[in-house]
Amino acid sequence: MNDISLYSNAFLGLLPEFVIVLAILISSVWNLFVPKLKFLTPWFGLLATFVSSMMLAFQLNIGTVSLFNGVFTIDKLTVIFGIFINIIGFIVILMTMGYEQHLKDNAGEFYTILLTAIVSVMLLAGSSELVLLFVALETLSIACVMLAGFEKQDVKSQEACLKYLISTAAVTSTLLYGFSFIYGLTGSTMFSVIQEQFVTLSMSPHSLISVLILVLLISAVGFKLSIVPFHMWTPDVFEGAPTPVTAFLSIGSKLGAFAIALRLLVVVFGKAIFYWTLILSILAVLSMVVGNLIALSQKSFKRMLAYSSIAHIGYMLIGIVEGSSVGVSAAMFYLIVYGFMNLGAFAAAILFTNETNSDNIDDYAGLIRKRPILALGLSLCLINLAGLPIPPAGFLAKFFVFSAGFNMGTIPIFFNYSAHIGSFLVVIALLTSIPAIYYYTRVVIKMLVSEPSDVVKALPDKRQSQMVSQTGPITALGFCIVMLCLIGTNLVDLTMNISQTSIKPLYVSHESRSPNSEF
Amino acid sequence: MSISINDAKHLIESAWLLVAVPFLVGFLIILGLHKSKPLSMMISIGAVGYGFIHALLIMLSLAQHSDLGPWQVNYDWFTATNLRLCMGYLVDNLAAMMLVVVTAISLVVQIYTHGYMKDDPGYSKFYAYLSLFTASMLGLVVSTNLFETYFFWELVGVCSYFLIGFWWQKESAAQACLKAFIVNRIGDFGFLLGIIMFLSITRTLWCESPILAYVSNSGRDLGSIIIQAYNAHMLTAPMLSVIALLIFLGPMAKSAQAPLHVWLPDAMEGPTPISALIHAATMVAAGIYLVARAYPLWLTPDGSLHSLGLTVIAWVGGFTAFMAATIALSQFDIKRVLAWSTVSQLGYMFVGLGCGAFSGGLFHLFNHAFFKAMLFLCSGAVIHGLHGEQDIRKMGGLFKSMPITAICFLIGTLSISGCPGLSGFFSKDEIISASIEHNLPLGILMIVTAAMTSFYMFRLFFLTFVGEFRGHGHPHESPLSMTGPLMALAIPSIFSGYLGVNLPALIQGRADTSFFPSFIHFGSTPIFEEPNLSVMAYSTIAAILGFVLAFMIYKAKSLSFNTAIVESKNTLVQIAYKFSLNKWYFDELYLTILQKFILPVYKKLWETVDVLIVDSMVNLSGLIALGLGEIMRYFQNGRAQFYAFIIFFGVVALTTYAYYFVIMP
Repeated sequence: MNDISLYSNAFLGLLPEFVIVLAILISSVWNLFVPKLKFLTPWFGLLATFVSSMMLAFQLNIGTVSLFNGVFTIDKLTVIFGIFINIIGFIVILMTMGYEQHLKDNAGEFYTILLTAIVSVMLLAGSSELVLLFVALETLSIACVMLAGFEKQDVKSQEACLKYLISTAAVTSTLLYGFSFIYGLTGSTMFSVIQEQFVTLSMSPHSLISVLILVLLISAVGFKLSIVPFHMWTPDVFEGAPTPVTAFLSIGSKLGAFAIALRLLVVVFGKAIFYWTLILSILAVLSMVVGNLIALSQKSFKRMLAYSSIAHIGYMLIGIVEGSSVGVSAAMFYLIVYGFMNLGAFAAAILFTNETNSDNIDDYAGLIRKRPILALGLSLCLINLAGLPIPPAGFLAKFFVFSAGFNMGTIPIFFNYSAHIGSFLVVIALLTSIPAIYYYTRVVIKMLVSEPSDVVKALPDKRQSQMVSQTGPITALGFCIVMLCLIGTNLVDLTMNISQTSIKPLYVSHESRSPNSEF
Repeated sequence: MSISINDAKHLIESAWLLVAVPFLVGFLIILGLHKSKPLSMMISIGAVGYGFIHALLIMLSLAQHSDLGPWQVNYDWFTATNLRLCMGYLVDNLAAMMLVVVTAISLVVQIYTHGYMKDDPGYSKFYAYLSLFTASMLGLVVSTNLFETYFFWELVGVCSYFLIGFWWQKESAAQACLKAFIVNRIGDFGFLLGIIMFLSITRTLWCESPILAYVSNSGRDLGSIIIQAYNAHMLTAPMLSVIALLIFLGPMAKSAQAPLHVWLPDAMEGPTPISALIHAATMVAAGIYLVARAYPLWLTPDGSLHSLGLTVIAWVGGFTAFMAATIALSQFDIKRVLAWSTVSQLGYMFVGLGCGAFSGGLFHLFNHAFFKAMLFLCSGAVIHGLHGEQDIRKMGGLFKSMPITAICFLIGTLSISGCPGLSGFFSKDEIISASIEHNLPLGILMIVTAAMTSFYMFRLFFLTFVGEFRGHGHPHESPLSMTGPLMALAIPSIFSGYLGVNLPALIQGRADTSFFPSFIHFGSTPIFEEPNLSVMAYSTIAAILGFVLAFMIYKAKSLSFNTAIVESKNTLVQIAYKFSLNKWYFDELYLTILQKFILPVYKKLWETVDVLIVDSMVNLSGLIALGLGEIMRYFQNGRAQFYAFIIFFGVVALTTYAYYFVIMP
């Protein structure tokens, strides 16, 4: 094959990414050159994410394609993660359209940076080489830092930005340190080579160095996923950052980290599954306990969602820890469902804050009397986050993960003492979900049953549409709810199929560790 | 009335309508029909009225064509290898009986609501909730598998929170709602954990058939799977006990068994029709129904009745029955006395199921539903007639002003006390004789409880309806829409007991087939226990004893040890009285544990983490990062460098742990 056709192949393969890049270019200059048509900027983003996900959908059946000599891989995982991040981006852009009043004149740049973050997640999902992975991850981090500090007049936003920057810097250093070990030992940055070398070279998985590499990788992944103890930035940044950014951070950037976890831990270091299982189990327990217990005492709605997102990652880790395709696809299913219910909750928070300027949980009381649709929509998202089966999407997600976790065997956890880690994790998860159900449904009961708070009483009976455009966030909320209801009822099988398809490429490359059935 | 086999088939196959119609009606009212009060009322009552007729016809069909049941339809919901989650509907004798109970009680309650809630602003909304509540319960009844049951179980729970907290303006209603919620969560936690454990052990055995099904033709139902798993050494008796006890936490919370009973008496805060519905047919019956439905879970793996699971059920029920009865002795709120009596009677039902009297326990559920619904509706009529007064010390002599209510209440009282010939007598007797045979101390406890039941119910009756009126205002009889349902319920309250007893045979002192036990039984053939005439005599004597005591104290006033007890200087007597009055201090105990133990520990934990670890580390890292410190100083909150520090620290700690503590040894 000559260079030209190689090039055109690569170009066609990366077309979905190019679409987003095009939107980035347009939206960055649009406000400058066509200030009169400012309102169009988000529509470029919406259009681009839509077109890009359509293009990705066409790539679903092309099998595994390696571009640029194996630097970038297009397989089902890349495609499905790409589609999902585009959907997330679409929803977040919708939300932002109801948030523009806080962004002042810089709304155009906001969309530009948001789209950059999206394209970097798409690249992350497909990267099969350390340098590309690192560059994409850093692009994502820097975009997120900039987004977090976007409200320049707001001290909290600035604080969030700086804290996020410093933490990111710390974690970048650990990740690079880990990469340097990997390169030093294997002499390559290609995943496929590393995977082989890791097994064949003298590097027995028992060595201190391989444990160190794993921990360093996990620290970077854990930071983005906000796993305890790498979670410290989460509440501050979630609270301080503009709400659409928080929504993006809670799922969009996690999606990227999730992709790294799958590519690196499950595939490249698949042989060392025993060690990362051990480490991740501990982190999962910590995340579930810490996340839920601190969320219990939060007064700010966004902060509560922040801490609870830590707990949700803990639940997903149970699936990853299980390691076989059953567990990982259950975790993937959880991630999809979590994405919709969480984004829905954030959209509702934007709608509420736009009208009341409040983020306090107590202020949500009696909302059903003034804004019944908003109250019911938010209730639905929260009930699902709590894992109650109405509609059962959230419940099924928990159930799949937990029942996968239950089937794990014993592993040593302390000196020679072994434990049935799977059932331990599930019991912890169920126990910690009691406070979770409490703090989620507390909001629901407040909204539906309690007497209206002063803030709600002060709301006008009809929405004042001239003040702020609420259409975007309402559409986002409605979309999330429809998706949740569908996943809970008709599309369970389909969603599970998607989850399985997306992780299938991971298990082709190395021997199957799961003799058991698949979901 | 005889039903042809084809009609019977059609009736059973269309059983899904029973669930779908009230659901649809509930949503319709919420979506728009609530604007018209009469329309909301009519379609809601119409839906459940249709349901009642349909359920009755189904029961008749099954009684006449025993080869028709069990009938089930499963729709796939999620499928994978060895995991086929299904939603569907199952109609068999047990479900048919329950369908009749739920729709009958719901029907009278909804008619009654029209009179009771007439002036309430939430009239239409109340009908919507009632329809949804009934529909969820019906869905639970026709569930084909444990999973579906769990979904409807949660739905029943959610509806009940809305109804208990219906008058959210009242602080106590909001509190009661929260309490019901938390207690039920604890139960559901056990339920779900039990299901997951059971499923993960037996998953491979279910093959491609609907998972956790109650009934199947291919030998893949709960009972058979347990035996298969046991024979294949996948499941041992202790494992099954653990699973059974975990799942039992669910019924314990829903059916208000000690120590998870605390929510039910507080749930009185909802409007009275809801109390009647919750106490008689829906919420609390769900727990009993689940135990009966999934009965094989509580047996030993090889199907024997002498299992740990059943023993625990029996003793939990026995203890609860006794405890609740002692509490009911000293309460002054008319609805609370009834609430505690429900807790106590539910205890009886669990004793019945736990002692192997499967049909006896369910028979009591059946009878209890009618007379307890009637008693609650009577109490509602009293409260309505007295303009919201609930304290029986401010009642009395109401017989004259509200005769219909009083007569109905008397019938209910006689029935629940076990007066020979009324419905409660037969079912309670079956339970007591089973418990005596199974476990003598438990049987004696049940007889003592029977005496107490009779006492507190007659105490309630005498204080409310007999003697001088001690309150203010002019009590009046309720409108027909309220008294009508009372009278309608009086009929089954008297006669439903005869469904479960073969009178001619009984007179000759032997057991023979009767409708109820041959209709509903566990195992392939019904068990007809010998009627134990001596047990009947004992329990009758106990009931009479309770009645005589109540009569002498509250009517003839020839005995006055009730005041003697209250004013007694004897500390032991005082302690006993306080114990009963304060409901055995369960609420206080839980509150103390929460406030003195759990909350402080929770707070202390975070304080320690915050002050000791975080702050000292912030200082430490501050020293380390002195070079960087110049930038940080402008930062209002000095914790950013700490965040970075904790990341490095986490890496070191994890590596150390994984390598030196696990891998090296």
